[in-house]
Amino acid sequence: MDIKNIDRREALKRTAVLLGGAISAPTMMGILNGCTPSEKLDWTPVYFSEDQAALVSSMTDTIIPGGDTKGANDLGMPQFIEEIVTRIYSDQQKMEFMDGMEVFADRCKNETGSDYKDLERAEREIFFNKVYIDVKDIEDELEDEREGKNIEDYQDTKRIYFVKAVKELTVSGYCLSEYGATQVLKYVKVPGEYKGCIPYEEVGGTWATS
Amino acid sequence: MNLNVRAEEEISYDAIVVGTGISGGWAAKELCEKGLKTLVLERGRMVKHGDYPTANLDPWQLPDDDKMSAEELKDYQKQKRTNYTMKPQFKHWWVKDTEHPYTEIKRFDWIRGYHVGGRSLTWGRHSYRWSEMDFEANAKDGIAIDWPIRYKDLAPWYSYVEKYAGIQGMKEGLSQCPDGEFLPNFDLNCVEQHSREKIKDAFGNRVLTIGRTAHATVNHNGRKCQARNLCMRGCPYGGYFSSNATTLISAENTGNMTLRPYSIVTEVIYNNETQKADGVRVLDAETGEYMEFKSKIIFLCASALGSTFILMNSKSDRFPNGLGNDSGELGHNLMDHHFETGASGTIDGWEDKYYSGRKPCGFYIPRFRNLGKEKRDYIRGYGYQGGASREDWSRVVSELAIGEELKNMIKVPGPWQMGMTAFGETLPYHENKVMLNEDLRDMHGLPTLTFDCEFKENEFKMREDMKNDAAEMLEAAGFKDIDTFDTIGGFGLSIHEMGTARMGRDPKTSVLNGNNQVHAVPNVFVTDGACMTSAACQNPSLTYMAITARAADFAVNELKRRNL
Repeated sequence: MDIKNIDRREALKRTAVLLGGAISAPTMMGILNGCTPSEKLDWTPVYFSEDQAALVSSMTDTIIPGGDTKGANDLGMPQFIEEIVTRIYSDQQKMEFMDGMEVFADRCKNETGSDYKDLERAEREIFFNKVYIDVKDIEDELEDEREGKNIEDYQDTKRIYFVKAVKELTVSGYCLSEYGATQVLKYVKVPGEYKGCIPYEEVGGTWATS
Repeated sequence: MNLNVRAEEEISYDAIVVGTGISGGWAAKELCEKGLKTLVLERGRMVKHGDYPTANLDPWQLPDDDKMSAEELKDYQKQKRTNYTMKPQFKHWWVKDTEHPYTEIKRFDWIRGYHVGGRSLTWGRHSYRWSEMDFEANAKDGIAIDWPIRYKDLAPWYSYVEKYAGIQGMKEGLSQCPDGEFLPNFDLNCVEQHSREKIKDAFGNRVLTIGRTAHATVNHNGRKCQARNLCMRGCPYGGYFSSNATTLISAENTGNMTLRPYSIVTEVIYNNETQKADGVRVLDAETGEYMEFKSKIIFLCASALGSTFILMNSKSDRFPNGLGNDSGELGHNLMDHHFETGASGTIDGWEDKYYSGRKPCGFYIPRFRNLGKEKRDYIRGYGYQGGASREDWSRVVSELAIGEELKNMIKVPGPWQMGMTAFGETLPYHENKVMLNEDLRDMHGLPTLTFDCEFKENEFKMREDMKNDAAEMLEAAGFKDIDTFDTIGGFGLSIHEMGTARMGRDPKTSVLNGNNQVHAVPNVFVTDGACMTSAACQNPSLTYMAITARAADFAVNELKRRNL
């Protein structure tokens, strides 16, 4: 799931609209529906500090807010991320993640004057994508370096980029959760047969798995 | 095992089969069905059809995003090189490298598991016939040695094994990739079908067809694929060919099979007087006991490197360099398919089309290079495996979509994309070899293998075409944003390792004859990947099945004629 093929001009255009004060319609919908991150943390972190847990929670809520369908925090995505960082990541990966979190938090404070979790939803979206574009630039460079190398070497040297990891895990954890796969996406446990070319309406959504 | 059971255990059989993978399962079935009391020895644990612990798990039941921890992966440093084997849903099918180490003089990716069924549980299921051209290639190119058989020797056996295994495919009439006995084929999806037509228009001799795979698209002997695409977990529906779901059950049904797991064959026992093998020595993996079993014939089907290991470890005065190694070729001429090069792209259109069910295979483009008069700057050729699909929810990760926009985006599939990877033939080079290493021991105290192999000039020259032809075909079919890739990986990474005990006409330059008998020890047969004299570009498992069935038929006839 590498970032690729984002037309940078298009990406900047979109971000400029948001930065310019005009909030995108979907985001406005979210705000009008009262989807703000909870002030209090509703889970007990084991590895993260309270502040770190609050930061991650506000990020996952930004990525997939609640509303007419459940959001990332309704499905325990912050806890899921903490599990992955704690039990799955190597020491090196854990360090990169936590360092990246600190950089993210500091940058937010410097550029907005606030902690990330205290920003308005629209501001949280804008800042997240600002950092995301920068990660994309780094990954593009690495992609070029990767050409001709062994996959194994690339996997071992692949760095954990905090924002990318948070977004990837939030989206993947959400989409492959029981709720996500069956209520938001489409999932059939035992299809019985394969049909190669059917009208989209017969499915009416995105398959959760292939 | 207690003494009572050991004392009651039968020691003498008509036949011994070593290994229960693609080849071993077939040897067991054929020999048992022809009336031989057969001892089937598997070094790993028992896996009965249905013993597939993760087979029915929903995606949300896989722990930790289906990732193994860095800590746990320390035991699988080589197995994880594929990037897809080491996940919670599959991890129990692969060896721990810490328990079964090997030495790499140059990088070698030896990906395997030790359990009843072997890699017939985890294989890719692609099943293509080799052609006349493939069997003639060494002779025509003046490379290595000639195969002692031709396509016509194997053709009836391809039919025989295809009918039993159940191979779905489309007939295309291509001599370089002969049609088989096919079950009704899986659909190509809309974009694959479109690409097939466009590629045919642009390049007359390039055919995008359905991947020919060992799936039961219709009820086949009580088995039917349910289009779940979870094959590598093991399939409770018997949707694809595995020893566990098919050949071992057939063998068991005859009443002639004794299947003994945890039985590591360490050597073949040679009898200097009779100049035949008496039987095998076995190390019981659970008790550490050594024991011997006797038989009239032995089929080594322990996988290419497994069988060669046994031969190399079977030393005697007559065979100081390993059983049957008069030629010095044992361990040499190791081949694989090089792959992980090709292209991908996206295409506009078909927004109103989708698919249902999860097809457990993609398309195949048979070899079109160096056919007839064409001469590229390399010899032999390659085929492509690939597939088209609509981008799914994961595409939001590579975009700036966030919040409500992201929620809306995941609910709708994205644009169509298609990719393909070529699998290229690797030539047999004498210097690509594996050696017995008595200094490094595995968890059982047995010697290990040392690998010294590399891809060479012909392979690298071929890769330029493999990559560019893919891009060219995508372009012709109307794809845009075409990316090429070329990450060769290690020797062995395609998990098609073959050679090291090759078949040939001359005992001075080969280990096996045209009937897969060890030249100098005619009651020992080797019918797995070890026997291969060249690699072609087609996936080899179907050929192992046909070779095994043919050799078993010959062996039984020889027994009847009292030649063995």
